[in-house]
Amino acid sequence: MNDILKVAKWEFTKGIKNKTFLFLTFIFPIIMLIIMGVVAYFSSQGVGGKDLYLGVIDKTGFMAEPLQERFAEEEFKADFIVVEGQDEIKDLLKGEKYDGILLIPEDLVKNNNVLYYFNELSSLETDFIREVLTNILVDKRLIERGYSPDEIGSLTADVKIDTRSLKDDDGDVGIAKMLLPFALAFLMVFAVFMSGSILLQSIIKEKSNRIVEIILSSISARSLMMGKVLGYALLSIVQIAIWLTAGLLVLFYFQPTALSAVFELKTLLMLVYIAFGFIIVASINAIIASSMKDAQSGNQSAGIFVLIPIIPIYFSMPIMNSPNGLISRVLSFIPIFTPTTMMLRLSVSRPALWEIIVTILLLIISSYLLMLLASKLFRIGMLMYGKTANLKEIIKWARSKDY
Amino acid sequence: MSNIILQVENINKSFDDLKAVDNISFEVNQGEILGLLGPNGAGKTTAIRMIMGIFQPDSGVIKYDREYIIDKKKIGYLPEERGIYDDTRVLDTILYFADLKGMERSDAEEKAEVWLDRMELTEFTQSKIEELSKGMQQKIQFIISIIHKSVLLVLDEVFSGLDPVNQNLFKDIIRELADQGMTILLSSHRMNMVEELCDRIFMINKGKRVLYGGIDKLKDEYGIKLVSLKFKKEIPGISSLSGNSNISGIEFDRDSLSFKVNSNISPLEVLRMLPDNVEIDEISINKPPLHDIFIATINKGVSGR
Repeated sequence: MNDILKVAKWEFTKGIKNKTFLFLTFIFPIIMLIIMGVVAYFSSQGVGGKDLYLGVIDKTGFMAEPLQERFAEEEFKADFIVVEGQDEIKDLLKGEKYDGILLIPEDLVKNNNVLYYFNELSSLETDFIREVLTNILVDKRLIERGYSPDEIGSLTADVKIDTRSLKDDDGDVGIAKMLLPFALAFLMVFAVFMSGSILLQSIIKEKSNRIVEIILSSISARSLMMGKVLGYALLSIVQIAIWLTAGLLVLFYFQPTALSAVFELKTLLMLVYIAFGFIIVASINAIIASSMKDAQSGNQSAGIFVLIPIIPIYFSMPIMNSPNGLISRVLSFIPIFTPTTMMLRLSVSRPALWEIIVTILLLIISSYLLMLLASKLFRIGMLMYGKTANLKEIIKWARSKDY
Repeated sequence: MSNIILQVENINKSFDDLKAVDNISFEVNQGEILGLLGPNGAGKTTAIRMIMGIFQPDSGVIKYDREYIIDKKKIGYLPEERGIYDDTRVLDTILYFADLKGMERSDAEEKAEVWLDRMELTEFTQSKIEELSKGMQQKIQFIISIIHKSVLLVLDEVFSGLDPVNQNLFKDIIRELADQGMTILLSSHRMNMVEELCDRIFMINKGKRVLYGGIDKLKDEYGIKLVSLKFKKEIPGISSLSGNSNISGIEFDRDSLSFKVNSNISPLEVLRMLPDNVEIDEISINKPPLHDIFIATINKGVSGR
């Protein structure tokens, strides 16, 4: 045990001075925040953030005025033009003065149909145009039926959705509260994979320059591996803590009410799952790294195996849409996918208690077995010379009593 | 009877089809320096790794100070392939390895200072290892292997890559450690160093033992002495020598002569073999250097197959 702590301390102090680690811990979140800020800024700027300049051909004779009004509200520009034939429209679009040309036919009221010519189509654009035209048309029909503008206003009022959580009564925190647990889950998964890859590099380095022989003449292979795993786990914790603190500070500044989403039992459970996730990732990385000849081969083929535990990320849409559905459940009970899947599920729902108990038990057993296997393969692999072992050889090692 | 610190009994080790170590046995006594010799690929490093507890032998027993289980804290090891962290500081690295051997920090700091001074590396105490030359890095590794008070010290190819000055420095230190009672097993290809340092040697070839014993005794058993003579005047005739069955490998020049003679022939008898009228200027009769024995033994092994 003592040896494990010695190695852990050494790896931790070494890791915390590692340039990649420092960069990803401090610079990466800043870059992410900047990108998020930029995206948020542009999405608040109307349709896709760009000004829409439309050419409108109004053959009804009554759409021009209300359209002009609505567009002005949204800071869009529209010219009302008169053109004959498709060729002329094509030429106009080629001139790139207009983003699109809207053709409103005479029989709009009867057929509810317009034509939109475009250079580049965005669904936001058409959604917006549809909404505006529909509103104008509905208003017009209602006026023709003899309703007054006030009546129309109350007849066509949109339904507003206020969000309110039942669990606690801190009022309307909206989307931030929903996204927060997900962001937390993602952050943890990312941190684990990052320190997992630094672990991989450190093992390969010790193997390829044979420091491992001196170390293994002082302590057991198991102590070395466990110490490394522990050291990098601590590194992950520090990293998550730094990010979390920074995130909470930002949150506290902008939306203090959403903070309660972080201080929940769920967050604690996530930490439990991510801890097992780390053990699994680290064990896999230890097996891979010890079977590699050098860092170059470490990056090539190993990538596939390293990525297995985050496969559920690719299923994050179905999992989040249906956190207690079939896909979510099946993935939850495959130990290698359990941590990531459960993190995603926890972030949007509350899985049944029995599922939480069973998956954690499953993780305890499987990560123990995986660590046993990893420390055995690690010992054999670390002392191999020259070549990168293939899967067949690794299986042979796993079966051998000793080497 | 002296105290046996390391006892190797009939150990075997195979890798797939290759028999790397084939039933070898030897022992090292306390305060003794045993040289482990053999050509490249003979099985030296495999044997050392089994002794270090890095590999398990397929069969056979290794005893350490009469214990069957190695106490890794009591053993010092300098592996053949020199590897060391490059992005850490000299002192930190030494202290880490001392820590793994179970040394107290204050003790380790004190010893590290002494050894860095001895190796003339004091000014690099806080340098990163990658800033050091290859030779300096090797000194750091040597310090790491000897800093804790080990009972058994195993040095694999300790002199490789060192310049003559540092070879002598290492040699002096190894001698001192043995004098202080440390038991040392060393492998090297520098036969002159082995000859100067080791009490006994164990020579291995193709996994098998080919020579084992005290250096002087092995030289006697080798059965040949080297005679070389220098004369004041040109030699009139030495044809009488070539007929002698005790003599071989005669080489002569205008005023010098050398030949090999069976080792049961005494120096006096050698002199009597020479013609009466020669005027000898210099004469030496030596046991052969280890180098010759090494090469002859390996070649014999090759032709014997």
